Amino acid sequence: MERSRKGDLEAFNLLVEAYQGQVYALCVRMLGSREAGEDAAQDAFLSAFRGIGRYRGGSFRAWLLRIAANACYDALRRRQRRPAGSLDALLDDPDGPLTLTDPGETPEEHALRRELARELEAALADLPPEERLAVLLCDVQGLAYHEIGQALGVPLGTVKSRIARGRARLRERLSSRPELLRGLRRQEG
Amino acid sequence: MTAGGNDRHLDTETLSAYLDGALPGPEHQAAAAHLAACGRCREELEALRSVVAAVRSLPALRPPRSLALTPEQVRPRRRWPLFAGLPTFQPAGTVGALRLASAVAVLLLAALLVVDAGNVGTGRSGTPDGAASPLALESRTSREAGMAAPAAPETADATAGAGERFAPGDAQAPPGTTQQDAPQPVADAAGGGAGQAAPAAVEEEPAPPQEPAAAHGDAGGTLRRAQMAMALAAAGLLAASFVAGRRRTR
Repeated sequence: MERSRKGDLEAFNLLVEAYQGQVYALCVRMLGSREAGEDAAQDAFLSAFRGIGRYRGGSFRAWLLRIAANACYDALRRRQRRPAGSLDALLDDPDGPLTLTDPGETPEEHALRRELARELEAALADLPPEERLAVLLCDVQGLAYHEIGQALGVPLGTVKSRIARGRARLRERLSSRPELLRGLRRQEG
Repeated sequence: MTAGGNDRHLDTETLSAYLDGALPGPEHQAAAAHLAACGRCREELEALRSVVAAVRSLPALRPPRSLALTPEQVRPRRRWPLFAGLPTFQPAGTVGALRLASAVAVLLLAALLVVDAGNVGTGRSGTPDGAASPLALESRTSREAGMAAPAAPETADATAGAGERFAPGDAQAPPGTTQQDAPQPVADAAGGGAGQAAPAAVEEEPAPPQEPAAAHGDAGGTLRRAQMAMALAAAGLLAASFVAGRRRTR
């Protein structure tokens, strides 16, 4: 970290290796497309490298994800509208993780899980970007509320309400397919 | 038992924060007490919990390639950190395009000058020193350019000097050489070209009147305007590529 702050690219790339999965996943889901997500993630790391002098301690992950979120907002602004079909491209990607099977998973369970993931990705994509971001940071990235506040530059109360509104919307959306969530619960139980 | 004091149902925000253990101690306890007594809120909580579980179960996404930065990606500009969040500027492409565009503009200018020399110079353009007459013309136009774009003179000079070398920051030509000098009309310039343009480094000569160009006028007018435009374009493009190149090598 110290070396990165002095502009040591090799040292910084160790951080890239450590965080690229999270940054990439966030960007892809924020933008609903692998290509756009990859570009935004790359932009984010570049910005982070250039701005590392402005990192003032605290959670590095939160700082980095904030930069990633900004890169995503930039991309969203440039695009204004998500081109139709890009999400399907994400979900139908034959090499994508959705086609991996858990050992011990029956074909039915696999199909159910796939279906749930598809519904959920689509529901996430329809959330307002701030709510999507808050939900992703909380439930996918596993950030604590105060870290999310730090990452988004908003007070705790805002974090709380964005997460709650996002979750409520997702629940609404998924309530039309109750069997998906039931399947999930059975899987976990 | 204590449900009596907590009979208002919990809102989604409270339930959501409760799930994350993000409520302050007393609120958390109050919520827990209410949940213990209220089936409806428990149901709400479970619904939210399953949504959270579903989101958490989303597959991890792995980048298709390493996102490690290469030295090339990192090298460009450190100059405007304000723009750090903006999309990556591609200096190589821009500089390349600018250089290509300036080369084209310079070639067009040269072509126009040759045509002009054929029309007007009547053989005097046949000076062995081919660069001389373009230089003289250039100086005339770049004087105007100098007013509009301060960077123009040096680049315009470079153009005349070495057609194919636009290397930014080259400093091969002292800036301002052609700037304030040689406002002679084209006909004169073509005649005295080599002699007068070369020692053009004289600074800040009072700009002599330029009506001869107008006197020359009519047929050559359009051509001259075209030359002027082209010279301006070349100067501007060169200046731009100079600036862009600078930024890149920084």
